[in-house]
Amino acid sequence: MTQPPSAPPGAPPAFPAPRAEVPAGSPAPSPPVERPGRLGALSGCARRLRAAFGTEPGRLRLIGLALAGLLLLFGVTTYWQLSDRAEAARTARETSQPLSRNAADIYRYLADANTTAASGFLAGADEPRNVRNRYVRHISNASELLASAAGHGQGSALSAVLIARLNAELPRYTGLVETARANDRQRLPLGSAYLRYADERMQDTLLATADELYRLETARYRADLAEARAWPWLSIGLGVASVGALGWAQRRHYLRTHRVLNPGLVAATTAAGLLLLWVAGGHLMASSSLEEAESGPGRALTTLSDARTEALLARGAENLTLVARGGDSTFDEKYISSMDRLLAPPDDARAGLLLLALAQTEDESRTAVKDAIAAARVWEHRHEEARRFEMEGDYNGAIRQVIGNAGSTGESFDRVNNKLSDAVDRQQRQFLDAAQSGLNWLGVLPPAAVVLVLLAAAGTARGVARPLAEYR
Amino acid sequence: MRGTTRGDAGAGRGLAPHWRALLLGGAGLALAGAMVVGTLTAGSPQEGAGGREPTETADATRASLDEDPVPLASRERCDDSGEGGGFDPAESLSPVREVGPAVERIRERDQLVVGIDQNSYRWGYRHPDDGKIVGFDIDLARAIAEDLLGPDPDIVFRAIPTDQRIGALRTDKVDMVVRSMSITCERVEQVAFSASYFETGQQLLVPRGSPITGFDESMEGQRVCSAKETTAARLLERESHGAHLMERPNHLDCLVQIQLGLAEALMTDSALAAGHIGQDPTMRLVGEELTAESYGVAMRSEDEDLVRWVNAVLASYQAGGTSSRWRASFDEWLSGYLPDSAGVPPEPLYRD
Repeated sequence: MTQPPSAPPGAPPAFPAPRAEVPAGSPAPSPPVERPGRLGALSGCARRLRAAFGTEPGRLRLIGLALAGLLLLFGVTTYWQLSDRAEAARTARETSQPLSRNAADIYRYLADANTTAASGFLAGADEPRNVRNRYVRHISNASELLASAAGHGQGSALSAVLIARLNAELPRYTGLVETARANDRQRLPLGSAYLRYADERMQDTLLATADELYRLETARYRADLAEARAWPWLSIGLGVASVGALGWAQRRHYLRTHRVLNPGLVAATTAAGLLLLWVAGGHLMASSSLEEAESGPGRALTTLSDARTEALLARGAENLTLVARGGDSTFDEKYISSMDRLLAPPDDARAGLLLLALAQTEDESRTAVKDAIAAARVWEHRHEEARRFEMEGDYNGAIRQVIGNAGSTGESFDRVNNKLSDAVDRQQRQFLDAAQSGLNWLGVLPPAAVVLVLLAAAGTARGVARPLAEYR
Repeated sequence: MRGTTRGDAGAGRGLAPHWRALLLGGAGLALAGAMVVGTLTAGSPQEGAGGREPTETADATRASLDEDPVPLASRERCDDSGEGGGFDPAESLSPVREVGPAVERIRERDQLVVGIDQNSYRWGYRHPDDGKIVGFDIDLARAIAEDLLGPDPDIVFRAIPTDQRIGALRTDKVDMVVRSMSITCERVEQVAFSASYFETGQQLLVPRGSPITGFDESMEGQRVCSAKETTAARLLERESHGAHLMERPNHLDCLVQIQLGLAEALMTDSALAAGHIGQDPTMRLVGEELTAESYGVAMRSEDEDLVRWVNAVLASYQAGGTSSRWRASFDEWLSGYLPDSAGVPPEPLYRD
C-alpha cells in the first residue's frame, strides 16, 4: 500500500546520493543546498556548486539529496518528538499519577490514623481491638508508602526532603500517642493534653508536609500530561515541508519531461503524506484521550480525594472535641468548617466538595457519591445529637453517640468514607483506561515514523535515479 | 462509692510518689504555705489568719523566712473611685438563705447547671474508671446543689473552656461556675463571686534538677511556659527575667512541653500546680508565690439571692476546722500535693 503501484521493472542503481554524504545538519528546505566547507575551500566549493547547477543531472542530484535530507529530518524529528510525548504519557500514567496518588494516600493514612487514635482514646480502657488495629494498620501503611515513595522519588530533591521530614516526624507522633494512652490509663488528664499535642503535630507538621508532597507530585503529574499533549509543531512543520517539496519536485519533473508521473516520487509523497496525517491525527486522538482522562475521571479523582480528606478531618475534629473535654471549643469550629467544605450550605455560591463530585461523576460513581452525601447529612444530624448530650453534661452519652456502633456519628463517617473510596477506585480505573488509550495512539507512532520515512526516502531515491540514468 | 474505690487504689500506688514530691519540693512548698498565710495577714485587716491553725504554718513561715527575705506580692485591690483605698475583690455579699428569683428559678427547674473543668486533675476531672466527674471543685458544687435542691440533686456538669467562663454565665448557659476561678477586679465588674473558697498565688513549677530557683535571674535563657491569657502570662510578659516565653492553650499543655523537654518551667497558681505534681511527681514548686488570689464561685451579677445562698452554704461547708466538709474534701483531693498549711479554709470577707 505504501509501495508505489507501478514500480518500473528496470531496477535502477540502488541509492540516491552515491557521492555526497547525507546532509545531516542542513535545514534548507529546497534546492539551494549550501554546505559551507572550510573558509579556504569556500570559493572552490561555490564554483563546484554553480557548475553542478549548470547541468540537469547535477540539479537532479541536488534535488534528490535535499528531498532525502528533508525526509530523514522529518522522520528523526517525528521519532524524537513523538517518543518524548509517549514517554511523558507513560510516565504520567505509570509513575507520576501513582506517585501523586501515593502522596494522597500517605496524607489520608496519616489523617485516618490520627482520627482513629482519638477514637481509641475516647474509648479508653475499652478501646475495641478493631480500632487499635486500624490505627496500627494506617501507621504502617503510611510508613510503607513513605519507604516506597523514597525509592521512587528520583529526580526531585524537594520531594526527598519532604519524605525525609515525614519519616522523621512519624515516630515522634506515634510516641506522643502512646504517651497519651499510658497517661490516660493512669487516669491522668495529662493523657488528653498529650493527645491534643499529638494532633497538633499531626496537623501542623505531618499533614502539612504530606500535603506539600501531594501538591508537588500532582504538579509533576500535570506537567507530564501537558508535555504529552503538547502539539508536535516541528514534526508537523517538517512533514508539511517534505510533502510540499516532493510535490514541487514532481511538478518540475512533469513540466520537464511531459511525463505524467514519477512512480518513485509518488510513492515517497504517499509515504510522507501518510506519516504527516498519522502524526497529526494520532496526536490529536491521543491528546483528546489524555484530555478526557484528565478532565473527566482525573478531575473527579481530585475532588473525591479532597472530599475524603475533608471527611477525615471533620471526623478527627469531632473526636478531638470530646478528647478536649470541653476545654477547647476550636475543635468543634474545625468540624463545622470541614463539614461546610463537604456540604456547603445551600445558599452558598460555592458548592461543597461532595456536590462538586456529584457533578463530575457518572453512573455507579455518581450513585456512590449520592450515598456519601446522604450519609454525610445523617452524620451532621447525629453530630448535633452528640453535641446536645455534651451540652447537657452527659459526656458518656456524647461519647457513645460519637464512637458507638449503630446510630453513631462514627458509623456515618465510615459510610461516607467507604462510599467515597468506592467512587475513587472506579474513577481511578476509568482514568487508567482513558490514559491507556491515549498511550496506544502515541506508542505506535515513533516506529511507524521510521518505517514510513525510510520508504519515502527510498521512493525519492528511485524517483531521482531514474531520470538521472537517462542522462548517461 | 467512688470515694472508697479511689481511696483503695490510691493508697497502694498513688501516695508514695506524692510523698516523694513533697520531700523534694519541701522547701518550696513550705514557702508556698507561708506565702498564703503571710499574704492574708498583710492583706486583710480584720482578723486575717486568725481562724487558721497557727502552729505548723508559723513554723513553716519561720523556716522560709530564715532562708529568704520575703518581698510579697500584695493582694489586688480594686479601684472604686470615690472611697479611698479601693476594695478587696474577694469581698462578697453576706450569707443569707433567702429564696429570691434566682433560687426560685433553679428550684422550679429542680436542676442545677454548673460550669466546670473536666481537665483539672484533683479539681475537676473525669475519673477514667466510670467517667464521673470528680475533684475538689466538684465536691463544692455538689454541696451547693444538695443545699439548694435537697439530697440526690439533679446536677448538670457542663464543661466550659477557660476563656468562656464569663460568657457561659452571661448567656445563661450555666447557673454558676465552679472552676478554680480567681476573683479579680476585672471579673468582678462582669460577674458576681461568692466568698473565697481557696487561697492561692502564681508560682513557678519546674522539673527535678532544674537550675531555676525562683522568679529571678535564674530564669535567664530558659523557656518558661504559661497558659494563654492568664495571670501567669501577664506576669511573665511584665517581667520575664530574660526567659523565653511560651504560651499554650492550657496550663496542662505546658506540663506536656516540660516532659518533652521543650520547656524548662511553667507558671500557674500553686493550687493548679498541685494537679501537675499529682500527675508528675518529679515536678516541684520553686520560689515564692507572686500573687495572692482567691477562688470564688462565679454567678450572674443580678442573682444576688443565689450569691448570698452560696455564701451561706460555704460558711457551713467550711465551718468546723479540721472536721469541716471543706477539710474532708481537701484531704481527699489535695493533701499530699499541697502543704498542710493550705488545708485551712479561707476566712470569708463580706462587704455588707
